[in-house]
Amino acid sequence: MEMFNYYLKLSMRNLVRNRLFFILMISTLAVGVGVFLANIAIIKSMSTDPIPQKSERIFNVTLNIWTGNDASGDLIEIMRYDDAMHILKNDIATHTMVHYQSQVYARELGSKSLTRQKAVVRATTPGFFPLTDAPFAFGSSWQQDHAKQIVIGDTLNQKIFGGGNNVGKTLEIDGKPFEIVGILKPWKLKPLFYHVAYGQKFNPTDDIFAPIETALDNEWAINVRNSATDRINSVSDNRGKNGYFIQAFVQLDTLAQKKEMQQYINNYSQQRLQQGENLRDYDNRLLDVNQWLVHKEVVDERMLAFGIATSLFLAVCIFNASSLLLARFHSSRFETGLRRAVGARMKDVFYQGLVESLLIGICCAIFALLFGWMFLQISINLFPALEHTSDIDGALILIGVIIALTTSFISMLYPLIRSCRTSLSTTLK
Amino acid sequence: MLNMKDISRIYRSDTIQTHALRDFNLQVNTGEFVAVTGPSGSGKSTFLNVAGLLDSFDKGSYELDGINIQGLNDDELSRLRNEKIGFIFQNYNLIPDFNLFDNVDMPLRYRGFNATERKRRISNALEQVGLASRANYLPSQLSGGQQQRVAIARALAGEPKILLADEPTGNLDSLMARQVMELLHTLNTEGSTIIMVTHDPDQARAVGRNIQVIDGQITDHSVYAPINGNATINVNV
Amino acid sequence: MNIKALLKALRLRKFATGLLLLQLSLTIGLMVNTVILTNSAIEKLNKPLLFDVEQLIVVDLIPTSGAFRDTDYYQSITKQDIAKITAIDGVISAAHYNQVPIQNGGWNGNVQSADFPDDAVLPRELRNVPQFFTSKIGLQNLGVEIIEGRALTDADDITHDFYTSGKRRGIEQNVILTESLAKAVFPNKSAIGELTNNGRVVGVAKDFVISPTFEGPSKFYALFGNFMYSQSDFEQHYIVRVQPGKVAEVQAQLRDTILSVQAERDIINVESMAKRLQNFYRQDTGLASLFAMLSMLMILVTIVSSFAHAHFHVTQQRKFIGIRRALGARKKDIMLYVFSENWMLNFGASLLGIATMVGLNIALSQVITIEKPTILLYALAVCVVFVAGSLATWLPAYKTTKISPVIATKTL
Repeated sequence: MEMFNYYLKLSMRNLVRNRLFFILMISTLAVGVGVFLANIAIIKSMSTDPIPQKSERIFNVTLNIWTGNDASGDLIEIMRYDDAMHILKNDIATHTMVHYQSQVYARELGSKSLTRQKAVVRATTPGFFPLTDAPFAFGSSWQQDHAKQIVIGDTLNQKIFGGGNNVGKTLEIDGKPFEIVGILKPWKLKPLFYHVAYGQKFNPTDDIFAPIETALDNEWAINVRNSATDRINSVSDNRGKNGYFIQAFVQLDTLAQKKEMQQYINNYSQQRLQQGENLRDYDNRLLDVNQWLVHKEVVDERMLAFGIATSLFLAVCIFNASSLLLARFHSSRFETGLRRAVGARMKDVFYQGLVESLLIGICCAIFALLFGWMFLQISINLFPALEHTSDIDGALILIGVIIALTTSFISMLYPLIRSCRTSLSTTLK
Repeated sequence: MLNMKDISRIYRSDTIQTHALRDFNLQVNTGEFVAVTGPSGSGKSTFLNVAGLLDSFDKGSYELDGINIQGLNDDELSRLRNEKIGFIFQNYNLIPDFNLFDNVDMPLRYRGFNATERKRRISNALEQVGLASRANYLPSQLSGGQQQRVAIARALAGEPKILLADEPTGNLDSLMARQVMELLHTLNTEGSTIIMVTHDPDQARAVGRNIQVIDGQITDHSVYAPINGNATINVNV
Repeated sequence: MNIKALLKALRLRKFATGLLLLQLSLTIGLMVNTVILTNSAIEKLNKPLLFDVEQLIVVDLIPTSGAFRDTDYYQSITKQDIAKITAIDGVISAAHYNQVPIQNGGWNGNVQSADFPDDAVLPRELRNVPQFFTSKIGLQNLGVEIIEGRALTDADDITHDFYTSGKRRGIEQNVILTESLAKAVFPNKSAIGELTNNGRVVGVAKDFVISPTFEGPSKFYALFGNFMYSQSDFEQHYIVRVQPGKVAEVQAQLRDTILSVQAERDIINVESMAKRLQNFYRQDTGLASLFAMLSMLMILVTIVSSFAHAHFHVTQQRKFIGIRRALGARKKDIMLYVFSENWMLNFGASLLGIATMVGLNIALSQVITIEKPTILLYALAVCVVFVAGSLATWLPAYKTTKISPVIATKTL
């Protein structure tokens, strides 16, 4: 420890003495790490597991069904009302939920203010909450399929009521009353795995959760993709018709359950085929959350492209730092030689270099975090789609520090080895 | 103290081999003050480097303070350098932006002494060379002679068995040179073993034992006659 | 200039030289690919869309009140909105639309001739044709001409029938197809008078770009009908055509004008069509800008390292330079000596740069669409690196001229 302090003191002195040199070196290295870090921040949050505790047990259900005359092309994850109801009927899965997304404008019934808050609606089934581990602050889910009851998210609770337990109060939507039976805690889910398609993947969790039947009864529009091979006159007209708009997820805790579920949906496709519908060239698909996110290409390919470029840039910065350090060690080989002469072992010289690279690494880490934050802001500015994707958290800061330390160590390594190897007798003349 | 037998050191380049030392034999006893002279390129520096464990040798055997050097690894050699040997260089080799204290401190750091022990030794060493009051000075604030005395203090602080001096007065004017030489003589009378490479016959003459190196071999063991037949040196530091 | 001596000096520092070579060549590779990306982003933005982008403003809005569930009410508000907007000074015309051109998928459906056999497979691009429902002036409002047949008239308006119960099934609307779509659906004849699954063709409009990302003629495909879609929870769109130069002025008034008719609406967005185009390509231009930023940083790093490299080289070779000076080299010769080292490095890097440029291009093409590098771009990048490197070398080179020949006589 005493040696460590001594080396730290020496390194500090070195840094101060060769200010310009180290400023150039550390800042180029920090820019490299910073850019890389900003990119990692983006890619990392794009590729996070949104529900790590059970992501391998939750599966998207994509059915092989099609009523159009051309059955080529990949499966689509949306299904008809009747398909969804059949999935719901299964007694295999631990939890099952189906949903579609809508949007309404809501205000508190009887409130003096006439302003309505825009609210994204998840029209779904009670299985949604245990399946997604949605955290209830107050109350619970609705019990009846057609209940005029809703669960609201924390954001909407704050916007309309300013927070607190408002279970039992009523929201007015389109002039009709809906009773609040549950309120969620603040809930982050990135990516929004249950609705990653069609630009929704990094949206916040929903404002209102309502019974899917109630949403249909009240003609709450299908907000995102909606395909039909029939003429459909209204939202509720989808019942029994060929309108595709519902997505389904199941929780399957065991392999046996998964097998059984696969069989269940395979049987269903066959049954539909016999009723004169078409099959596509693919099998019914059960993909777990991470497979599903990969399948839906949640990570923006442009960011991957930029990732290639930033890694190269980081390499360039390391090369630069390394060649600068080589020159530095070259100019300090007299002192190294002297230390060796008075009894420093190669280990000691290496250890001293290590401490110096640690110090450089720490300086670099501080600047890299700063630059990283800056580049992240720039990236978000240039790339509005990223806005909700990335935030700097503890893990990321740790990654940043580790990268900074590693890169400064890598940059230091060859110059240090060279300096340890210098022959002693020549340097002291 | 130091025993070299048939030491050879050969430098090879693509085209030529240079025998810097060939079958070099030397024994130095505890308490001796040996002056090594010889023309440029005779091998005296190589001898000093080998003796100081800064350079390896190709043939022969070398014992330092009863320890056979052959086959020691870098750690062990470093340890020996640190504990047994004190170096004094022609150009002092002080670190310019360390003060005297930190300069003298350097070898002690690698010995693993605690802070009190280091401080005691540094003060003693600086005391010995008469610079105790200037511990906070930077080398650049001192004269050349004073700088060399700091270098000597650095060599002494580790309480080495043997001091190796490479033209210690080569960069000094005659007055300063005399002071440094007087210091070395005092140290010798106090018991230090010293080997000094020098160009100056007067300096050589003033010490107990002379050897001359030519073409990598010792050619002359004769002792220069003391100046005015008087071997006693007055020390005024 | 002694190239052999230079090469030797560089070889002595193979590690540092190697690093610098790699670094410079990567910089060249990245720069070329950046320019490719930037060029293609600019190219996309500048491709003519064949309608009056510069004169149009788009409004996206949605009702927030249940009152709009009454379609008659909804329609009367829409009509009042359009009338009031049209009355604004500087506005030429305005119309409602169920969707707006420059889009990535929207309200689409298949379009085929009515006698298209049931068991035949419709080409993929005809399965997702954008269907526009707007007023009779919808096309004219965009600045798109009718080249065959006629424009839509009041008689073609199906709104009333659509929202009258029992009548919806019997509707046979009159529609206008864009030229490319008409050719695709009715390849060997005039489309006028023909029946499609979406109604009878009464006119053919000149092609204009609706879906810019589509390949080939399908980016021009669209079908237009005269219909005021009034579903209160769907976004509605107004497109306002203004006199040249009045876009900003009119744009500023639109929100208040619309809300003054009926306040229970959420005006989601008011933007010029030009801005919409920019936003449409924002991901591409954004990526290009990110690459451009990275290239700038790389040039900066190049400058730093060229400077440092030359600087340390000079410090290391002080004595040799002194000797050269002592032997009669002029300051010019010494400058040239230092510069020529940098140039040699650049030469080496430009050769390596070909590999990194192609390599990076291939790597990028695995994840995004990117064009191939050209010789011109390559030459340009080499030039930039060369100039940046030379500039950075200038100061250390200049310093060498200060080295006194006396140094040669000193031992170091």
